[in-house]
Amino acid sequence: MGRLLQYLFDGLSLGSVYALLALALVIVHRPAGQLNFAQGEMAMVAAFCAWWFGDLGLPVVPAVAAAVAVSCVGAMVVERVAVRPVRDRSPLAVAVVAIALFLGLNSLPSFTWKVTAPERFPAIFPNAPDDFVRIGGATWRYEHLLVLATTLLIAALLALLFRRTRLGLAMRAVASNRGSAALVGIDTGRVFLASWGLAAGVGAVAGTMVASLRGNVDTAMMLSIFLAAAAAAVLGGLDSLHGAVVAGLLLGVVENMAAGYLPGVVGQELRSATGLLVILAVLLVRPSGLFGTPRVERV
Amino acid sequence: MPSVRLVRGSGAHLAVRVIAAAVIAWLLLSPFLRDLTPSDYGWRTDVAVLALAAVALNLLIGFTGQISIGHSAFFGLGAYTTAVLVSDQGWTPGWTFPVAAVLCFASGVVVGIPALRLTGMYLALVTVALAQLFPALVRRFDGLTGGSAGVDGVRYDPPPWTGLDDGRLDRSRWLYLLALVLLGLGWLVARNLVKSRTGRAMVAVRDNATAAAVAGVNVAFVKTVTFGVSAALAGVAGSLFALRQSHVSPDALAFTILGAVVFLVVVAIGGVATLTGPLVGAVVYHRIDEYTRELPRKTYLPEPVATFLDGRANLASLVFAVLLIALVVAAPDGLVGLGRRVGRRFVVVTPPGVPPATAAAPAPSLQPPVIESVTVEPGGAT
Amino acid sequence: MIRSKPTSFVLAIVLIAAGCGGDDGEAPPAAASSPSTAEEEGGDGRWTVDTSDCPDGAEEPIEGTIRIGTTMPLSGGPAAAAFAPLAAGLEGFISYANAEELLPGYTLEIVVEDDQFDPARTPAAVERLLDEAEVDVFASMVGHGNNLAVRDVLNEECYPQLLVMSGSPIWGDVESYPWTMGSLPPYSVETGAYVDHITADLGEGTTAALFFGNNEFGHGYADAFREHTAEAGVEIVDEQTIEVTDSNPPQSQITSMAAKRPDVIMAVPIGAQCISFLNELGNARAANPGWEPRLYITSSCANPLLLAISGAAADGLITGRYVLGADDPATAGDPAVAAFKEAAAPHIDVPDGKYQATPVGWNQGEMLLAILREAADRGPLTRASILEAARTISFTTPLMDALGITLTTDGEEDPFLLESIQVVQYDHETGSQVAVGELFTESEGETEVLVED
Repeated sequence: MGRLLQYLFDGLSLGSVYALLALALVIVHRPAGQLNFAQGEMAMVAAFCAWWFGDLGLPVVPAVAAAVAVSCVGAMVVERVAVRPVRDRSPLAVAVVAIALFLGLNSLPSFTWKVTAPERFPAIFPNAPDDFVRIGGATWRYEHLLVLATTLLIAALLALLFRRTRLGLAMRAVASNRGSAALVGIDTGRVFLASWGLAAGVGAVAGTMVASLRGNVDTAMMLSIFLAAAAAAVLGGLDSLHGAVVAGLLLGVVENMAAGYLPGVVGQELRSATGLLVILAVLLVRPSGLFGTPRVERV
Repeated sequence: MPSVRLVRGSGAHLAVRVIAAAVIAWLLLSPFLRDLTPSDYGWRTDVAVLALAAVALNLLIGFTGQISIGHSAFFGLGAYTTAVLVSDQGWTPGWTFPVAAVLCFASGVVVGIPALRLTGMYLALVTVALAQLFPALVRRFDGLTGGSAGVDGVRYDPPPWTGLDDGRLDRSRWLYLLALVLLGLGWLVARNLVKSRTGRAMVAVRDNATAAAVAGVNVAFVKTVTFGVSAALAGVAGSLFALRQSHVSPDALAFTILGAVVFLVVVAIGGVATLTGPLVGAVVYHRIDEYTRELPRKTYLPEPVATFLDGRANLASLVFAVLLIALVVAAPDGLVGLGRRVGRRFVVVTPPGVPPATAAAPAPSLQPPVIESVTVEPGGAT
Repeated sequence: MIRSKPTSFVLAIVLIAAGCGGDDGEAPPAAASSPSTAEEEGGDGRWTVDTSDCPDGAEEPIEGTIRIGTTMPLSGGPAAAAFAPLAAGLEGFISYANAEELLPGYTLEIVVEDDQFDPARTPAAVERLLDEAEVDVFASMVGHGNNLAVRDVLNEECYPQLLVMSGSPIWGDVESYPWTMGSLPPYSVETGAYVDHITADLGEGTTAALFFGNNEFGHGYADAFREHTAEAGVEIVDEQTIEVTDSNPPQSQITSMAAKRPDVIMAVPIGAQCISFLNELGNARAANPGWEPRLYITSSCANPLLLAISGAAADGLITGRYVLGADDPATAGDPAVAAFKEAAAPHIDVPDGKYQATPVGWNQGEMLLAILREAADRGPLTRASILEAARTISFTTPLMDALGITLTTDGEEDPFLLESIQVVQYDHETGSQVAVGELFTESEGETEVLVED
């Protein structure tokens, strides 16, 4: 029982990060139907920015806030310069731009800051070894609890933004029908720009939380997390915010349970693949994900 | 206005095509007449392997509109088939190509069947799972695959009838020749498939599966078979890769998702849904990659720049990323698409008997695919 | 549109000419994998290499400039960043050696090819080094798979592949691959030192858990540990692995290990996983009062800057050392380290005063220089004479001598250069690694070669 709970708690903290990055992916995907392959690396670079601000003397929370701001602006510049020119030409070209961004961003910290090894990252949340509550024989660490709470809070704020603000309304309109949205006077270009900026901000929170949990920043830290987040976004349905959160948490828990309980059968080699196989099974039953909108094609 | 007008099938048109073919043949075969080193043959072989994998992927993305980010798995399966048969079972490498092709065709069909229900990014993600699974399975079944250590000693010495010896130079020539032949074969398979009735069915499925089905196309059959053929070609490319490397291991990036991404990039920069795109893309990709990796050693850089670059790793990757973005922004439909647009300003080929005024319009046959032609129901957001 | 239909004819012709594959059933002449016929002993009884099957050039005297080729990741992501200090150290030493004329009569030239740590790129990189840079000797190539990918061709072409940066026991196969030689302590040496320490300190009946990364390094290390513990009567109660690409902390693995409550943990994480492993283990200790396992961790994690990041979680861990580093406060004042810093200063740019693996790269250069000197002392320098010197040598370098280490080879009798290691314990307060006991030398000349079938 204690072990089951332990895997559940650990899985939820893993899943929180998946969920947050999946949210970022969904925000970019909804208006334009693009999967931003560089979302994870943007989050990694954001974590490095926060580390750098900290190095310059900023306390951790302002450093993270500054990194979130830098990410938003940076992502909007990238959208303007590299994504917009190809958006309506070819979806494959957009994918290649994102892949190129992935490669370039992955190399950025070692070039910019000459970092050759992981660097220390300060803890955002209390993380002394004995900062935990004991529940049913398992321990739930404060930092894991707070990461989960932050994720849920951000998801709630996003839901508010999309339902209650003009920008959110415009984003929903473009997501639902780009042509009609343009006809009623919505500046679709601005919506795309805002989506990239917003997604990068959410991603930056994910990246800095990962760094805080690890205690260090490293250029390889988001690679496997990005794949899991992409899987979660698809599982949730690619255009559903709550789908991304539910699927992210679910994936974290399933992965951890599988690796914990079936080491002989599943093992670490197949751990990330287990999650993907579960998703494959779900998609075969529901081709648009758990909460996705079914496609309606006009012939 | 275009300055030259050629009528399809006329003598002048034929002459242009013969000259073009001669130029390409010269480019491919002239290395044998020149004094080249093994490394010169080596990179040409690498390009051919990359091109064959891109031809395979293009068949799927370009002509049925199914995005795969998992072709590294078929590539790897082909490579391991050859490696294990040659190194452990002592097979003559030539016989492993058909085995790899059949094995990959079968796995392609197996993957293609569940893929029928999925489109766009949903399908792409499932193929990512495939890419993730392959190296994991290689490590898991280490009895067969050698696990993390990989398989060693996969080599193909030139057979005696070629008149080549087993030295490094002649071995590299033999592999280059082999790669050219297999690339040519693979390209012909793709070309004939695309130009056939099935090819038209593929394009119909890509542009609108429902409409194609209504028109009597067996959508499931077309998609599954294309997946199989594409996987088989990728597998043969993998076989060649194993022979060129002489060693395969799950650490090789070509067998991971990064390999699949490279194939995708090659198809995109060459020109998706064109027959020459993958070939052009492979050459350009490979040369940019080589050039950028040599950058840090360029001695002509001015002193302040060189000092600035001191201690900064990964310069090559950054330059590569910037070049790739610039290339895609300049030619979103790929280099072949760009070439066509530029070429049309100077030369126009018209079918016989068509009046010049209408002939100037671009041929609509092979447009780049619209991958996400999705109409979302209003009210579905949030 | 110009369509290229006629190309198909050309290809068809080539196709017919090539007869579609050449499956004439003739087995390839096994050149590299077959043992290169028995080495006859030289006049003075030293091991010599048989060059009768070699292409021309192996016995040709090298004059003026010795060209050294190596492959390292310089781009392509995290590996390039991690190995940048190593490359800087090696290149810095070569430039220092030339400036000080340490090999009289010769200039050293090093050409580094970037293989992005991808074994599939190494053959092409080595081809360029052979054909374009025309190097004489290969040294300090990074990566187990990368070296393996070119071992055949270098043995066939008879180019020394010296100081391979891997501790796998396959690099001692003098009979089949005479031209290839390793430079890191074989896994069995390091694990042997730890198991020795376990039994001496905790006695028999100790229980251990094993945690390792799922690649060649992790598995090789785990095999060696299993072998030593079986002999020493230490029981392994749990084994956990982590994928080297996994960026998540090893929570479920450590939960499983904690449930078995082993007395010691042997951990072989890779790169940044060293830190997350230490942090998670620290948390698990706090969550399981009364469980205080002693941690043994691979020397590849023993980077003082990495350990400092883990803070108190790293306190008391035991690891190994075979080259003196420059980032450890305890050894910063050591004469060998001071001499290294002074010599390196004009030749190496050290960002933020963090040396990282620079001394290791420098030391690789020292080792290569010692081998070249030995060969030059014995007679004219050729590829074969360099190899023979490397295989029958005994020397040390300043950064290894400070630990009391001597490097010795003797043909097939002793194929491994480095077979000693100093066990050290990390002290979090001072941020330094303190020697525990004597230098471990029991494996000297005893390491078993792993011969693949």
